[in-house]
Amino acid sequence: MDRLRTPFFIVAMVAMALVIFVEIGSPFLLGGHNVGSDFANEAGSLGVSVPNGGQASAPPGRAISYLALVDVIGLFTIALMGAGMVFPQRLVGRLQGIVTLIGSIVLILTALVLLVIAIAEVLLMVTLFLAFPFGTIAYLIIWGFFPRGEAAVVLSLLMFLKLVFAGALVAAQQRFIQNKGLVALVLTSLVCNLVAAFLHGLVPVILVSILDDIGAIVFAIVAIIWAIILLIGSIPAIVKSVRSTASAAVGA
Amino acid sequence: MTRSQKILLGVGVLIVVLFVLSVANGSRSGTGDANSGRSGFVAWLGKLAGSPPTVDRADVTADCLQPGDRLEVKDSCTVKVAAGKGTRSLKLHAVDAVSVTAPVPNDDSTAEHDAAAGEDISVTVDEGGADVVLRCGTCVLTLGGET
Repeated sequence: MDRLRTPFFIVAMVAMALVIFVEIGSPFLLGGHNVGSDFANEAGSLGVSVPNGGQASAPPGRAISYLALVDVIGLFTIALMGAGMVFPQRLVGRLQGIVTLIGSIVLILTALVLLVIAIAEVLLMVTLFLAFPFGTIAYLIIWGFFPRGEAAVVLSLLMFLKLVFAGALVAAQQRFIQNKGLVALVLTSLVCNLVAAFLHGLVPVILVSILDDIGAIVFAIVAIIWAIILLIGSIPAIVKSVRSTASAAVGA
Repeated sequence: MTRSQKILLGVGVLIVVLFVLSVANGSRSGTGDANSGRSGFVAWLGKLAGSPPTVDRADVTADCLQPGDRLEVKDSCTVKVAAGKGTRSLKLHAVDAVSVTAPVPNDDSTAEHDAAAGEDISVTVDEGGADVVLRCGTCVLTLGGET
């Protein structure tokens, strides 16, 4: 029971790596198709005609790609655990703290930049949407027809992969359940997935892009909080590593 | 199975059930229209974001521009808005009926709106500026709203 079942652990790692790939690749999977006829109807109801309005296309959204900011922490944590199977435990133990510190700083900076971008975009969206009629037309062309169905398919795939990840992790070693940090991280990831699906389904399609961006803002903030927790958690490991290195040097 | 394992399993099942319900609810929310969300949450966000600032008067030029910020149009007139900072709004007041054609901000398209006499028109302009074309037989508009 105490032994780590490597095949299940590898399945968990692969599942989480796939989650990240799908999330980062979601802007290429979602949207992009022409929504000219839907747009022409909306423009007509606003009393505006757009001669070349056939160029309106479905936007890819931000929230799903921003989920990667949270899920990359899970992959990072598992990768650190997996590193112990490939590299000597002593080396991994010494490097774990500093790698976590660097990783968390990089994540905080990345999430902060993406947070600012998402906030700026949501403000522009709302400003344009409420600036009738020319601003509203601009909003409709760029963001008005969010591909909710496609996003639901991608979110369902992500939910499945995350459940495979969680199941494989428990199958690999039941003690992972006792790791409160890891359990909280997996639950955070699942809840973020749920929040994205909830926000996409909450309002009519025309407004989904705004709530999708708000979801992206929430995920960036969640990632920053987790990165700060990781950063604080890495400090004792670094101190311990420095002490053991220093005592080894004195002993030599 | 321990108590904590049962709780975790219950939480997991609850998340999956809520996820399925959320996805199913999405198909019932409908497409909506451009008037959706003009009240409620989006309107609240709009108050938070504020309206785009009005285009600086010095940035506006037009051949048909007369003293007193009156635009006297015969057949057509192009109002040029110079490039500036961020999204702005050109406010016009149509004394007579007029057709307004303007580039869609942040996009390559142009949009046309037939304004009725007495209508206040807000043309949203991005940082690149815009050429706003006014068309009518003979008509008068005022810059910056009603005078």
